[in-house]
Amino acid sequence: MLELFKVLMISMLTSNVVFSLPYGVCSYLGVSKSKKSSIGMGFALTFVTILASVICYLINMLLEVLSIEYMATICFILVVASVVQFVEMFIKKFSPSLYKSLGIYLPLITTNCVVLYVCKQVVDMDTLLGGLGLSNTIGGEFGNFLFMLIYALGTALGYFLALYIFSVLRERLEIAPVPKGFAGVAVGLLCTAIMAMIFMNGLTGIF
Amino acid sequence: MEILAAIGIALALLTIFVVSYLLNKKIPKPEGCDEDIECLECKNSFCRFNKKNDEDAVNQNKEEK
Repeated sequence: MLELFKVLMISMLTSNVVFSLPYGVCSYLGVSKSKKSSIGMGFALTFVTILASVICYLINMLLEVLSIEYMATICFILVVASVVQFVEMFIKKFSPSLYKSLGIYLPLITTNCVVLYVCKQVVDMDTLLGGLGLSNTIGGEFGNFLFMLIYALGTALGYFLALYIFSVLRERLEIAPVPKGFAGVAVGLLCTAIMAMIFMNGLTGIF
Repeated sequence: MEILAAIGIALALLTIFVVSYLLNKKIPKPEGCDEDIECLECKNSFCRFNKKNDEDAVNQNKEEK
């Protein structure tokens, strides 16, 4: 149980996908103009990442049986694109109010590399957990599946957290007396660098 | 045999994507969700709202309105 918590915290904080790699920076800079849009994008990405990870994990098992693991990337891209289409269709049909708030951000997720990164990582859980300095304490395929779910959730929440904090900072920066040369994206990237130092150095060792 | 399996899986997933895309396109948008969104959030060339990413075009539209 402790190992699962560690995976969640490490993937969310110290190995935050935006600050440590960095992936998903395009939408991180683009959708962080307001808190509302960052929350919408965060929820949409979390949902799609978890769903796509589960499907990709199962598809990878099939690819391993057929000894065609080299097809993984192509298959995962198609899975992510299809999941986004199905999710959009479902939301459009059954929850118009949710579509109004998430609809714009759903197509952006198709090209968000965070989703594909998670899908690529979770198919080899032993290597992934070894890289994080952890091991599968539950054991077996069920343990791997559980760790995969937690890792996908943690990574997506990490992106959500980074996006939300940055959107709050950007809203504050709009009214701050920033020197002309630093205004806009420049000061935003400086804030990102400071946040990355806090996340990666300040929190390392806690988990 | 492996190559056939690889092609089969790729084609199956591609078919699922095409079907989901067409089905998604057929379902009408809920009321109040118009396509005419002036999105300046990013420069993602794959985004369906990318045609609106041109700031000059958006500014021109605003002036016209």
